[in-house]
Amino acid sequence: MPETPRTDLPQGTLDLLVLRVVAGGPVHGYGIAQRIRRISHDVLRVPQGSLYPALHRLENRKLLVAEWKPSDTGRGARFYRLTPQGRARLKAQTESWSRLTEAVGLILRTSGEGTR
Amino acid sequence: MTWWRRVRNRDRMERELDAELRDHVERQVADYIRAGLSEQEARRRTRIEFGGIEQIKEICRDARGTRWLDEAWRDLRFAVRALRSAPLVTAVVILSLALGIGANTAIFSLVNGLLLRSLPVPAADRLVTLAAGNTADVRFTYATFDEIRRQDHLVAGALAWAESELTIGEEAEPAYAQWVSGDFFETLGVRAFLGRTFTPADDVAGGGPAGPVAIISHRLWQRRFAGAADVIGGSLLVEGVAATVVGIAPPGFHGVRVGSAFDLLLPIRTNDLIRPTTPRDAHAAWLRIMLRLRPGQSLDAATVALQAAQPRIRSRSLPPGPSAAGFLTEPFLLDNAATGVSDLRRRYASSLVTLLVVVSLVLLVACTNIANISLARGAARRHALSLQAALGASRRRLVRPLLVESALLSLLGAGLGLVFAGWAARAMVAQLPSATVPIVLDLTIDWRVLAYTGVVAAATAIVAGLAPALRATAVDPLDALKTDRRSGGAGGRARGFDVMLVAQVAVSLLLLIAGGLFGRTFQQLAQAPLGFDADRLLVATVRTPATSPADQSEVRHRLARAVASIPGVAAAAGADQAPILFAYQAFPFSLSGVAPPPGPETRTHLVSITPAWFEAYGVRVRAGRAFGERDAAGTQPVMVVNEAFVRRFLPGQSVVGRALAMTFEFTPGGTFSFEPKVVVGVVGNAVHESIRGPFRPIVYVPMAQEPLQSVFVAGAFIAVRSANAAPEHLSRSVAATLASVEPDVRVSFLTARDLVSAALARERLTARLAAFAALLGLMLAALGLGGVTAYQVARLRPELAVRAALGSTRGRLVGLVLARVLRRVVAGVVVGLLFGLWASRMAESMLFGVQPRDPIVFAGAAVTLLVVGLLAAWVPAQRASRLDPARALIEI
Repeated sequence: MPETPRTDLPQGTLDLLVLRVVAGGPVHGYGIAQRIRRISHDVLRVPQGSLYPALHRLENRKLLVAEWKPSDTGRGARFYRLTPQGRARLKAQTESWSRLTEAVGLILRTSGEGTR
Repeated sequence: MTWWRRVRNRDRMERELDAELRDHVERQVADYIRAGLSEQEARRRTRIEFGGIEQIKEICRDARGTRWLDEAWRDLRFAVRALRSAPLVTAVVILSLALGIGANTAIFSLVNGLLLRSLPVPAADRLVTLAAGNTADVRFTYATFDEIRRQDHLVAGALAWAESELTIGEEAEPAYAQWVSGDFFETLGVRAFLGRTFTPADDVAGGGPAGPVAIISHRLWQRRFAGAADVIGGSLLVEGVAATVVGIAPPGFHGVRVGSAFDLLLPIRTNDLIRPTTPRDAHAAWLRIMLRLRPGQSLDAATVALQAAQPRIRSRSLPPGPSAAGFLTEPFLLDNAATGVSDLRRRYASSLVTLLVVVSLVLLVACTNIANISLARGAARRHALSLQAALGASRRRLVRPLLVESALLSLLGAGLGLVFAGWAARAMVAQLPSATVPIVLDLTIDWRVLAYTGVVAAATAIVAGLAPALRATAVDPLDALKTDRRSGGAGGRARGFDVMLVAQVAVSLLLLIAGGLFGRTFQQLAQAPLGFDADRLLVATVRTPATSPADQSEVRHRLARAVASIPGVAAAAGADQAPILFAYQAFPFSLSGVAPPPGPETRTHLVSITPAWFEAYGVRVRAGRAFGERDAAGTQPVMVVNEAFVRRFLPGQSVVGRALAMTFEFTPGGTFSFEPKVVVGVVGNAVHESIRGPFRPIVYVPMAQEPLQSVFVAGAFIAVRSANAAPEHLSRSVAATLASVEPDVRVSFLTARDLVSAALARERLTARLAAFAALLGLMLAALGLGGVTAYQVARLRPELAVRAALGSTRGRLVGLVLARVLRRVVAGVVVGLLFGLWASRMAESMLFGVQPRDPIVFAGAAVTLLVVGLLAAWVPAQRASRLDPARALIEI
């Protein structure tokens, strides 16, 4: 059996995206997957094989808490919420992500001009 | 803690995980339907996108970090199921393990209590005992102790102590007391549980400001005073003298002597107040001394310092009179005393260590049984295991459940064993009778005992589990593809069984040899000639009261005469010692005008007796006469010697009628020369101090002439020979008669038979436990042999069936199976015999009247094992002959 999740995203990225989506308010697993897909205009698809382990991992690290609540379908659903630690982590990771993409963007722009 | 909560919430977590993933699937399906797909198509697509739901669950469990727990739980459940599927086998295995581990733990907790446990005082490792020369158990005078204590630059502190049996209360309840110096508690660093401890001001001649004081043990406080706090400051009658109770010792503090527990403590110098009849001045040598080293001070450094100060200590504490010459001439020696002082330790250390080895061997036999069972199970599971291997399970994954199984077995065995051990250890201590002071040992199960049991259990699990597990899992995945399921690896040789069987037989043979050697030792000792007649003999220990006249000798004569006139008493006599019960040590001896015998050993006993003593004990007079009433004070000094004396000092000479001037070197009291005495008789050799030792030379003197009070002080013993009835029936009339002569006399009785029996307690205990271990080992080995044979029969079924079909008789089939087993048994016996020949010499010092390689014991053990092995294999082998060839052939 595969020990590592198959994913298009680097692991840290998936965690960051999940944290960002959950920051919007209590949401269940399916909702998270849909929202990531919708917001990214269908570019990012999170396979379930990665999403749920990520959710459980984040819960295990106390960045998320889960609560079993009744939902619109009539069955219960597991709703995830950010913990204060989760919020802090989201903030720190968002900043470092912005710095990283800016830096990578800068390099890509300059070196692109140089080769042209 | 969180993972523990996760374990607890495991079921809920599993349910939620399942519901969560299902919820996701349902929503996805609903969305697809809303987007226009048929329900069937929606479900199909969802399932494709989603992938394996069980795989996702597995990864989620991984993410939560509970996977190893899940697996451990699964292994455990598997092990429980496997064990429950064969409840009888499991019960037998757990029981044999419990006995093996329990016996180990029991003996170890005795070893721990007696040999390993430190005294319950702070920095016990800095306590040392003081000795002079190599003589064990030297006694010092108070004057010497006082000098050592004053030299406070030598060591951090000093204490002195002695012990005696006293009586307390109006009813004269016997109590075990220790006399201790004033700084006893301070040197040890022990505080009172209630009240106060002694101070040096309490320990002065004539008593301190509080008069005679006492500290009682926590036990006595609970037993006699029901733990009442107002005991402090109250008075307690000690030997009829009122002493003030100033404190209660902490519970668990039994003094510096391990193996006995004091009832009360008294200051040394108040002895003359409590026991005016047995005064002990500053020059009486009756004290043992312990020192406390300074932090960082080594034993050698302290020894050197003390030896340097010895001349000064000696000259300042020199006793007056003739004994000064040899006083304290031997150099001071120190010895570590962190674990206290103990006579029991000296007597039982080697026995206990031997027994520990013996019970370890029993456990080894039990282990091989379990290993056999695991091997058989492994072989039965061979097909399943190779299937697992073919499906990709790692070797580790295959071994683990098997190891968990044996670990579970040894854990259960150890748990049950601990319960059994607590009971067994107490039962063993109860088996150690002591004629006088009850034995108290701290047998609490402490970290050391638990650690020992843990190590034993872990070793059991590994020995019994690992080898079979590795063997069973060395499977070829290809086996799974073969169709032969029934017999598993029928072609594989059962070499594992062979090794186990040979080892098991060898070890149980060793156990039988040990049992035989110790059993013979006890038997020989029990039959050893005593030299006196122990039947119909009652020994009364008499304590004459504090108020009686000073002349103890006169009192003893009167008591003995009165007892002798009781109807039913054949003879009665008094003495300052009683063989086996109470004997002074033998001292170096010489005769003036007689050349010293070859060899350094001249130690001789000196015993002071009243007339009729030889008659009372039944010691034969070989030449001359016994003492009579005419050998009174002021008449010609006389003596009687035993045959060993004549053989040692005057071999081949006629000694009756000769006048001999003897000199004893009483250590450390000094040299003492007697006026010449005429030898009036020679008596047969009789046991005096120990049944084990050779007969030593003994000099008997009439008590009327030599009461020996100037040298020794003790209670008296009256030997009563009964005319016909059992001697214990006389005790009431003897007690009444003694009381009529001396109203305040205190007396206790023991029959000589009980004394002899108590003296052999160690040998009896060793013999019984060794016999028990041998029996247990034999039983386990028989069980194992039977089991292995049964397994062999099952394995050989096809072969046996073919042979039966071809016309083999029943007898030949049985013989075939038996021959296979017997070859292993014989090999085991040979290995065991060789090992026994090598190992038995280590027990030589504990044997008596039997050689370590005694051929009868060795042959007996070998024959016993062969017979039992044959019988154990016979029953299952019989089954082979009842095989129906037609059916067995079909089954192949």
